[in-house]
Amino acid sequence: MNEATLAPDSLAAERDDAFRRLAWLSTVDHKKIGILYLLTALVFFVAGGVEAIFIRLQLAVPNNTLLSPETYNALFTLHGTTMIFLVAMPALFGLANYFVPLQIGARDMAFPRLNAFSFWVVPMGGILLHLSLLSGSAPSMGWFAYAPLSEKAYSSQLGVDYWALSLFVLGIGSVGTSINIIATVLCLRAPGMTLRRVPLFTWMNFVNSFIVILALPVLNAGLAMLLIDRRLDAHFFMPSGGGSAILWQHIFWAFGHPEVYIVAVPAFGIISEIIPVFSRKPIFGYEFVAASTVAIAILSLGVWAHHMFTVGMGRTADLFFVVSSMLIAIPTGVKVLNWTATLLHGRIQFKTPMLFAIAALVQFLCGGLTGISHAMAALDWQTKNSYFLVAHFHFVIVGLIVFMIMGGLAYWLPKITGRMLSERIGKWTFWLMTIGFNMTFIIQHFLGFAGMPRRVYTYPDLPGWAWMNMVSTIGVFFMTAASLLLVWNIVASLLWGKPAGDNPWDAWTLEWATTSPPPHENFHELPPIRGRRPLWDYANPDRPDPVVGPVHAVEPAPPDKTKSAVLLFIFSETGFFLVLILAFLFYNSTPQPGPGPKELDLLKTGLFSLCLFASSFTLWRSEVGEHNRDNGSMIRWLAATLVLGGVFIIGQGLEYWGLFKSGVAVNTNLFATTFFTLTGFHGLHVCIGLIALAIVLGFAVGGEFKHRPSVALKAVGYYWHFVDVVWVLVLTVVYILPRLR
Amino acid sequence: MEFIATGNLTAFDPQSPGARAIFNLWHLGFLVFGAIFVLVAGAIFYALVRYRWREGELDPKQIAGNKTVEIIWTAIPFLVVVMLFTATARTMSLSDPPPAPKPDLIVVGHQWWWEIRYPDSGVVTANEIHIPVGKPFSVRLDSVDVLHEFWVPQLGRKMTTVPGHLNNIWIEADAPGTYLGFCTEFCGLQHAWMHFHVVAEPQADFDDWMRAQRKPAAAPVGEAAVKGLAVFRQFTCVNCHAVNGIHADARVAPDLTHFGSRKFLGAGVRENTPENLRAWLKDPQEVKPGALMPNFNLTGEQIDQLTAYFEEQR
Repeated sequence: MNEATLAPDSLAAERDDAFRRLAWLSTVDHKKIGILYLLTALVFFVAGGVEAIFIRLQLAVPNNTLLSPETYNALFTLHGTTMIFLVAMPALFGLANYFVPLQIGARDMAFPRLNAFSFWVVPMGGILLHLSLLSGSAPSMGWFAYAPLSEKAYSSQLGVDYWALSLFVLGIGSVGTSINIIATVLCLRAPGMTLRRVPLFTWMNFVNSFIVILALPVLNAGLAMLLIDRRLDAHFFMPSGGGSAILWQHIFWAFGHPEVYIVAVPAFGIISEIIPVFSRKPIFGYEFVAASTVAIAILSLGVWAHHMFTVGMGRTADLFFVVSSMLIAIPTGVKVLNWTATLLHGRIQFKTPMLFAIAALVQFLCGGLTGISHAMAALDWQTKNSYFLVAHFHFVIVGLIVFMIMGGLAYWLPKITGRMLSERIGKWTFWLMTIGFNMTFIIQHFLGFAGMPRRVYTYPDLPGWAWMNMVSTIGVFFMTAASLLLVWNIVASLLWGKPAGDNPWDAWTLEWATTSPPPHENFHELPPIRGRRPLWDYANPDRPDPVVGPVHAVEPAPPDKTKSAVLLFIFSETGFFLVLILAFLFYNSTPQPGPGPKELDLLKTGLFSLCLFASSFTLWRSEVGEHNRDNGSMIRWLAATLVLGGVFIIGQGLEYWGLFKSGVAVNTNLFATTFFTLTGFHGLHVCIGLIALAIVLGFAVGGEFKHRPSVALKAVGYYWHFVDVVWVLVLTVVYILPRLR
Repeated sequence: MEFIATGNLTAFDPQSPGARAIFNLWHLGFLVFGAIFVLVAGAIFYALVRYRWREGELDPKQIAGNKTVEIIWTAIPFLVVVMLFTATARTMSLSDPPPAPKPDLIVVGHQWWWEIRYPDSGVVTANEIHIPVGKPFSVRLDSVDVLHEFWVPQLGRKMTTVPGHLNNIWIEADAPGTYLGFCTEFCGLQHAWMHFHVVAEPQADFDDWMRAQRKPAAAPVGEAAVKGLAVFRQFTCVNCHAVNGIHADARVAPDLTHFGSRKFLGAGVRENTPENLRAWLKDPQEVKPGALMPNFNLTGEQIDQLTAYFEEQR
């Protein structure tokens, strides 16, 4: 850290050495958290990379016995999980954390403490995943955990449980980060930085965060169901107990395919920053690149079952997902063409970040085209689950995403550290990486055509297989060398790097309008913002960009960040409950043997449901009291809300008790399983709401809200009303609908 | 393994009408994807060469976009998508027609082998499917445990075997030969060794094979083979393996009637030779770690006797 550039008052406390070391643990600064994310990603990149090296060593020659099948299966499970959840996502979140606030001229993220929480969840989740190794049973069912292989009957050890818990925790962290990014972009933009003017990296992270908050809760619902199967002996996904193995695939890919975009869209953002700067031209078709991102985000939610063309969904469903998946090629193609058009008529500077961006562009073109071949179901019927598929998705995940993380680091590390990286080492890194990557993965397309299935720990010496696998393995060592050089380049630049100055690349977005590294408060002053490239306008007063929107845009006041965040959180919860409600409907569409919805006492439940609905009314009265500055009325109505909510929970407890006594438990049959899961998670939400209400009540009684308006009540209120609305749905689906049949 | 009719790129060596339909779609795909790749990568390469920055050059004209161009390059891909979709839908019908009302063949996935049943004749075998050349067989796919996936690259589409959810495909071969198939859905420890073979032969040969398979197991002849059968009964082999005609009808592990006629053992892990069978019986876990058959610690003599018995079961 270059202390001279930091504001003196903010540094006063940090001068103390011990404190400064601790500061990395307790920091809520978005820049430090961004760095922590990147370091965490690096640590797990080493783990995931070593796993990859062993995978390729085992496959280098036919009939190899270097690794046992257990070890190999654990390695590819960990490799996939680690690279997606502990490398790609943290690295991209890290860059977003550092640069989204800087690009919009903000002081920090909207919720610094939530930000710290979301970050610390990542190493915790990573540790949880790897704790499975200490229990002597690494997860070895694949990162997709297809049931019933992931069920206790076929994976009896604890590996799957650690894996599921780890992803559950990481999912919560990702949702937190994404809510934070959205709130930051919505609420903290600098004056003049309208949404139409934000840099594309920020825009894409903004849009992407919506995919995260919609998709991750779907996975979490599935993981909860899987854990209920494994730990409480239920049968959601166990065909032998009436469950459906295919439902797991629907849930997993309803998350899993958006997940591909969750890691790809920020990479699109990085490429959209780098290509213009090193072509010395603005991005071609900003509006189209931005709008195509929204199109991708929306379409990404409706393409998941193209992962399931071989499970026998029927022709109609297959065709639907062929169409939706092929449509997504159009906005993606628009992006690729706009990046290409940005290069044309530019002045292309072959600096390290640009080299990575160009390679990523060409590789993504290739990975995108093979992606279309998988959308064409008839072709997928041949190549799915073969090495062709492995080649395809590594072309996207490594060829685009890893390349753009590396390109992004080459581009932005000078801003983070204040020191330049060596261009010479950077170019070596680039060429080793590009040669290694293409050597490893181009040949795998042909291995797929030769019939080699994926996820096999060894293979017979069939014609052509041996040498192709050997080539693929050799490529890995080039990539390993590139990774080591990258780390060395960073270390060397920290030790001996040339000072970067504010704007080493002559770039145009706001992160380059401050010192490198930026001061604690990010900016001392901001240039005027009238378009998309404030620093271009500043440096070229004779030929500024056209103004985007009205010159002095009178912007509506930004929404309140706390309310926005709660609404976004509710939005994310919707996905979670939607899965549980759909699961209930799915499993109870035909009556299950054993207890059914008719056992439930609609009258009693109706009575305590009334209490819950009434509590929404009392909460509204309390809000009115707060609005009228009538503290007493606010407290009374709030207390009434708590009591009514409590009655509901007690009512639900009595209902559970009655069922238990008559021998109905969560594993009795699928009705009981879905009933307890759905109402149980709703009850859990009511309890959380009660705790939040109790805290607000405590503050209110303590006189906290006497003199200033409180946003806390409003925010908790949204949540409480949401919980009530969910109960309306649950009551209808669980108690009323079955009676109408 | 020279008899395996496999070139290097088996998926591009289609040997059935279904596989050929898919291969034809690949032709179209390669044409379209190749053209797109050449055009776009060509434009990128051209830009890199033509618009290289040179020291001291000023920033170029700042072009921010062009709406007409955007509309054109949104519309053209849309038309390409429509064309590819039409071709895909057509190929899907050609390569995957609706199943016959009654399957000719039932394939059941097990951890880590394939049970093969011919419902008409009642023949049950394992890991080796025989079909007559040129005659389409409707195949029903099932599983007793986890997901598996049935794929013969030269003979067409793959399909998952899902417990509790029957799937159907067709297989057919134009030319006589032995076609290698794989399990392509990860199914646990020994997913790698869950191969099978489809033997396509002229109708007469197929009929001969079927006639032989329908016979119960022959009574052992040689002295060692007689003892081998006794060993087979004495150890708990019959708890898992069926042999037609000796009151062994468990269906947990591969049916061993006519085991000697099969080309491979352990779902493709070794060729079926007396030597390999001995190695398997000595310790299956050595040959195929994790296979559900335990090491029975048989003596060398017992192994020889069992081998002699199964060599006779052709």
